Amino acid sequence: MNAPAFAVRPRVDTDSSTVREPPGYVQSDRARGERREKDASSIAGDSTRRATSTSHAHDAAIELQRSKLRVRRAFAYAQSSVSSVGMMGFMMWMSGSSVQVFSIMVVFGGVAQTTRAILGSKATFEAFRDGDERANVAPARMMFVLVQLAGLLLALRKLNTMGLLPSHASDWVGGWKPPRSLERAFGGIELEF
Amino acid sequence: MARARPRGHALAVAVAVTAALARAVGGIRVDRIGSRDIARGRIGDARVVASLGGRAVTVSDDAIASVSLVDGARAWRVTADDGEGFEGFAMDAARGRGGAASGRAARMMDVVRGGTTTWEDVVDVGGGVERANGGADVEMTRETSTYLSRGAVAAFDSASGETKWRADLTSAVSSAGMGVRWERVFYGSCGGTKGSTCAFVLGRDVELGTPCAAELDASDGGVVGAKCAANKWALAEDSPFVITREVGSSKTPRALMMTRDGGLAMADVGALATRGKGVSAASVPGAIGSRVTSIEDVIGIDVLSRDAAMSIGGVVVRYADGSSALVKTDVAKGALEIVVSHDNTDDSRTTYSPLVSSGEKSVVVVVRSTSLGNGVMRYKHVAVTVSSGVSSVLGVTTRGDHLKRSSPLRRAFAIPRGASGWATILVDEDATMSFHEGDVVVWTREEASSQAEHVVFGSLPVDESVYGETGATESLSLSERLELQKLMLKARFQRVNKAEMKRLAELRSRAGNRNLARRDVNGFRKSILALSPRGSLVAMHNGDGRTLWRQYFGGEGFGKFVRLMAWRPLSGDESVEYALALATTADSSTFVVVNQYTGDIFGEPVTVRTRAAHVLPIKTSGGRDALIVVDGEGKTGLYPEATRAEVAVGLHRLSYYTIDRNANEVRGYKLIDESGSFDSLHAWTVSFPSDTGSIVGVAAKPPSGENVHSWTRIPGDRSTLFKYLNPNVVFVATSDGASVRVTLLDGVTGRILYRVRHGDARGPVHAVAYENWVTYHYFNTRARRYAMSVLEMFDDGDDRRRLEVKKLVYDAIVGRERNETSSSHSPPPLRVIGQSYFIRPEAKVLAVTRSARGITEPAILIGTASDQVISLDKRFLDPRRPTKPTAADNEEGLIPYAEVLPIFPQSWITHREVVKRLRGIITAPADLESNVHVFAYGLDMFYARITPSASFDALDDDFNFALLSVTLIALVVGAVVSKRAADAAEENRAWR
Repeated sequence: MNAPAFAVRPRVDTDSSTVREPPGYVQSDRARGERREKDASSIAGDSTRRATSTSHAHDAAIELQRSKLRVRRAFAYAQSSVSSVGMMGFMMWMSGSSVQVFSIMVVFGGVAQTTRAILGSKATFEAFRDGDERANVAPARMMFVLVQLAGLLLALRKLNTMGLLPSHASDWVGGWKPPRSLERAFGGIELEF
Repeated sequence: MARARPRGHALAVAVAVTAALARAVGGIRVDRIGSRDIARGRIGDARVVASLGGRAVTVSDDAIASVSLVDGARAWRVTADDGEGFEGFAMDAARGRGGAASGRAARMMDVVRGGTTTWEDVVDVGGGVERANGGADVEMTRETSTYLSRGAVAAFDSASGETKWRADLTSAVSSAGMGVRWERVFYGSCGGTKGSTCAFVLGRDVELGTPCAAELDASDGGVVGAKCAANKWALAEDSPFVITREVGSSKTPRALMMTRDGGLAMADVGALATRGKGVSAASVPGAIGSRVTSIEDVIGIDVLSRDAAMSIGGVVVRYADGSSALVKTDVAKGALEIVVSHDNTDDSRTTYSPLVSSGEKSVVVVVRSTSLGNGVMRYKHVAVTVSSGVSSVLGVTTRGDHLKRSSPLRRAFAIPRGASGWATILVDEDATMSFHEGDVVVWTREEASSQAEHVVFGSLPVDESVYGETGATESLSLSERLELQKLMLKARFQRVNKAEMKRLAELRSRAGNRNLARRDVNGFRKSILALSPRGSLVAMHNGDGRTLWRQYFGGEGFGKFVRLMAWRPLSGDESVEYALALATTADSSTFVVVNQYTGDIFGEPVTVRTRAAHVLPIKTSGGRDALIVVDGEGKTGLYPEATRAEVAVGLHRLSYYTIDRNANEVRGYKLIDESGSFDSLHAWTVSFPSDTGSIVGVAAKPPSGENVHSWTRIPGDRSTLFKYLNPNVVFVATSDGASVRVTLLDGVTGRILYRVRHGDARGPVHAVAYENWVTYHYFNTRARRYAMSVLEMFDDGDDRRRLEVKKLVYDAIVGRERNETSSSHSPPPLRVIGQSYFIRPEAKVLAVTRSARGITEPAILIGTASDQVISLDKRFLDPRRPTKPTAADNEEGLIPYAEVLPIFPQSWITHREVVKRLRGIITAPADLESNVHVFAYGLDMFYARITPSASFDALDDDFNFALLSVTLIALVVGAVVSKRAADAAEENRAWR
């Protein structure tokens, strides 16, 4: 459930070399980065390589399509998290409200997973954008965060019903020292101990 | 393949370890007996010792027993029923019969074969009328056994137990006062010329103290005459009847008695019985040779014989100057004649054994005991032939050391050994019994603990060197250790027989370090200090029950010892723990402080002129221990006096109450400081109207040692219940036979906290109060079974119920300390929850376990009528046990309601042992939270270390660390080896 593995590929870089990659080849981030650096240096060295083989307008249309596609993918991902949160809720419901290893694992898993998802949502959705300035993934991210937040609330509620949240007065009085009695009365010696 | 084999080995070892570690939680298993508990049987303070073959039959109030003369081991024992004692005993050694009178019971036992009862009957004629005027006796001849009990006489056939006749003397003598206390029954000549035999009974008027006699026809029990003497012959309180009769004479027997004014009186029993006359003054010669002592100097007489030598009438006369004399009565002349006399000093005293006949002669063994100081006692045993006065020295023995101090000699018994030799059984003031033959002490029986009524757990020293050589304990040898392992294994698979089981228990008791005489980090090793009312204090080790030291305070006029407690004296050694014993007489109290490690008396005993009816233990503002004693009239005494100023500061916080069973009321008193002298002021009275019955049970919280871990109790719904932890709650139960009314009241103000009535119930009620609950045991007459009820008190004040979470959170964040106090003068509204359950066993004693920090759930210890101890988890006695448990109840761990409290086989903590004549149970926490020490005492004693909530914080003390280490090493080696084997196999496969 970390970074999505379905970034939109292949990506056409209009400003750099137009050599297409072989079908089915997925360029790794690192290789891509290295290539970009190489490209930059070659551009600086030789401007004649800037020649283009396809028309710009056509490319822009395709890019727009791809941006939309990226946003759609991001929304799809955000929507898919609803089912995962739902699944988590189901698991929590199934595990019952008694304090057991299984229910504790599920509930704490739920809290940890949703918190991590919310905190890591920026990176997650950056990956969807994949450097595309025009792809606006913020609404999708918002939706994702809301869904995860709902999941978190669900988990916390569950935690509360399990009695693991200090939400009652009884959770705060356990450490109180017993009161000291001011008076003391003693019986006769027949009340021996 | 060969390299992979260790994996299999490791697996086998792992399986073995798992099997070894899988222990059943809870009760003690049969093969674990002796690993955490000790049981010791006692025979009590022997009053009569009679020789029978190679054994001695001993009779104490509590038990009749037979002990081996070789090693003092007990062969058999018969104990008296509760509330009764063996008052009279007679033995027919030739036929192996022993007749015992205890209470209303007449019993004939086979003293040769295990003390089994041959027959039993009741000596009663009045159809179950309770007779207060006690006194029981037995007279046994070959054919007839005559029992006297509470004024009823019954003659039975000695062999079959068939009743020959019965007679009632309760109204035989017309007495204006409280009647006659009949004490002795014996046979003698009826007088006259026929020379027939009559049964005579001797007694005394309870009010006037005059001697009374009754003559009964020996054939049918018809009362020939019963009369009391004239008023001028009032007898001394403790005067015995010394009976003499002339063999073959037609004269009626004579009885020698001591009168209240210090004189001696001789009575013709026949004349006294028929005419109320025949009592005359007897003269007694001076004790020491030439010096003539007047009659006024006689301070007491002791009977020496029962029947063996009645014709001689041996008597010991004690004189005011401390000397004593063995005197025989010349029946023909009616005069007394001194056989031998002895001077007694402070260090040495003379003790005379009862007369024993050896052929024609009657012999008394005289034991001169001399204290050599430092707890050592020297005994010189001399046999004196009464008729001739010839004496022969049997031997000189010494006994005792600076720890196991010998207390003064109380009784001596002569045991025939060989053709004409004698050995001696000595019984000390502290009931210790020892067998002396020649110059050797053959064995010693520790009996001091059988007399204990006040027991506390004490501490052991940090360093056992105070015990010297005697403190050292031998550990198991290698062969014994192997034997222990073998037996443990056999026991685990239930393949041990009785002898092996005994051996296993013995080896277990010596295994490990549980018998060391120094304290341990877990507080498992403790001493048990047992104080008897007579003033013997004995310290025992809880590992094996051995005596660490003995001390005897009695004999110095301290009175009756009523209390024993841990104590910190003002100028004590910081590294030593002390204990305080408190004795009281009718007008004074004495405080004796002893060193818990050695029994040495610390400082001088201090006496205050106040009887101790109430003892108020207090910690002064300076943190010092002090005691206030108050007598029945409110006069106070303070110990130590130096704390008076500090005690005065907190005096207004102290009060005490009296539970007056006669007036059926509880009275409370305040202590006030009247310019330096403390006085008490009657503050309140709670009367129980007579139509609600009389007080049948009381209980209060222990003066100290209540460790409450949590003030609150959280039910499953997460609300908060605040326990009402008032230490001054007093439980009083009254019963009129048809119902039991229970009252909880505040001991400071007398305010009634709660009242409840149990219909169809009767007492006696046994109760225990602890933390915020009281539980009590009584009889339910409708269901005809015993019942236990529990009452739990909770503080139901508004400020308790309406706690706001945000405020609490805020307080927690800012770290506000809560340091609350409670006062009986501002009581909160209470919520009392109660519930009743049935329970099978009848209870005699109730106690509750206390743990070091109060986290462990307490267990209620029930001392049953069958003299065993049951541990009952408090959770079963929870008033909130639901009939239909909700999820919240389950979460809280409430046990579903059942009307009967379950007693599991493991609940019997005394397992197969019985603590005969159980008097009390004490508990003390070990330093390890889960462990609690329990000591049950009576005639016998039983100690166990129990874990009421299982052993949650430690491994078993006999956990096999060696096996665990070996297993771990084997597993590591196995893992490494198999890893290498697996790597090699992988490599091979890759190259294939």
